Amino acid sequence: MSGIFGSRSGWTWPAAMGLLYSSRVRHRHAARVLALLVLLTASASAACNAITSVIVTGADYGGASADAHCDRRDVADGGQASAFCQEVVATIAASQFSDDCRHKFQATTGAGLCPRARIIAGCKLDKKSDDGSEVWDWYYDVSDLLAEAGTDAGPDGGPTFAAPVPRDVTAVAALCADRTRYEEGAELAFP
Amino acid sequence: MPLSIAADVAAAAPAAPAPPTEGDDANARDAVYFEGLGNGILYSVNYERFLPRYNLGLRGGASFITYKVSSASGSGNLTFATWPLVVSYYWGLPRHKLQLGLGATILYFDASSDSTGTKIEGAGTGFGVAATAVIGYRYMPKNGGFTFGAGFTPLLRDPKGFLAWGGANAGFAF
Repeated sequence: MSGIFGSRSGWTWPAAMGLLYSSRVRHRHAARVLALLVLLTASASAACNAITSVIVTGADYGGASADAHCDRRDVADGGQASAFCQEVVATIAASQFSDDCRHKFQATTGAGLCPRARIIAGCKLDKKSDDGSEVWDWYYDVSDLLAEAGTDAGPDGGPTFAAPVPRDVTAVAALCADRTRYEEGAELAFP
Repeated sequence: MPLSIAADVAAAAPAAPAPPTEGDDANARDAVYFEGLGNGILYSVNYERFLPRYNLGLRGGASFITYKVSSASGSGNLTFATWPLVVSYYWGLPRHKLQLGLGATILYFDASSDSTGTKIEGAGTGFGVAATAVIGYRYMPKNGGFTFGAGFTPLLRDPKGFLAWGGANAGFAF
């Protein structure tokens, strides 16, 4: 018998094949360890998310959640106004949202939802918040404010309202669909 | 003679649920335990007094959490405290009990303030009361010692409504 794999033929594994086999075994081990690590990481992440979700649910039931808004149309001196207001519903981090609004944008913050008057349309963000809250950006018709303040009343004589300044529902819909603005997507919404 | 036969039959019968009775020194009368989630919502530290004659347990607990939500300087902490109060009926074997409880959880929540001292408050701020219940299992050591349990601990509160909840506890009975 002269079978290639038969030991009777006197055939033996070449040294290189031995190395190859050893290398394959090492790779297989490495792959298994890697798979195990990925599985453990995924499990830990899922467990962590589940624990966070349970804690947030409990805190919400205890009364920790509130609604807040950040009106970017109305800014303090030196701030750049924008033609929208962001509202966050049922968040347990309302004070953080409020501070971010004031310190990052010099905008006006408050409890409850954004003012509904003069809203053209809005974008409901698809992004999932850690605390389960939901976020809307409401875009306004700011023609009255522009008529009053002029178009160049922004900081250093810049535009009164930072772009974009949508003028109709179609323009708002385009903003909602803009992945450079809403990385995780957003849906057109009406108040 | 008939009395003797009756005694033999009783001795041969399988162990039936035997509720503890007054004067049964083998059963612990008190327990202190920590409960994760449960009637205290996030956690609670509890004392329970067992009344073996009535198969009842009277439980009072407390939890307290304070947490700085905003990282901005000058912002204040939120405060969340609960006090679960539950009366439980225990049924079953001397060590393994079905727990059926009813009670109330008193809640207190104070919203965190932002850096200007403004508090953005939701509907549940201040004191409130939630009705609560327990349907669960409890291990009761015969002569005191480690005790634990777990169960379904729903809450009902206006205006939040019904919360399907659960908890697990462990502690020491004596």
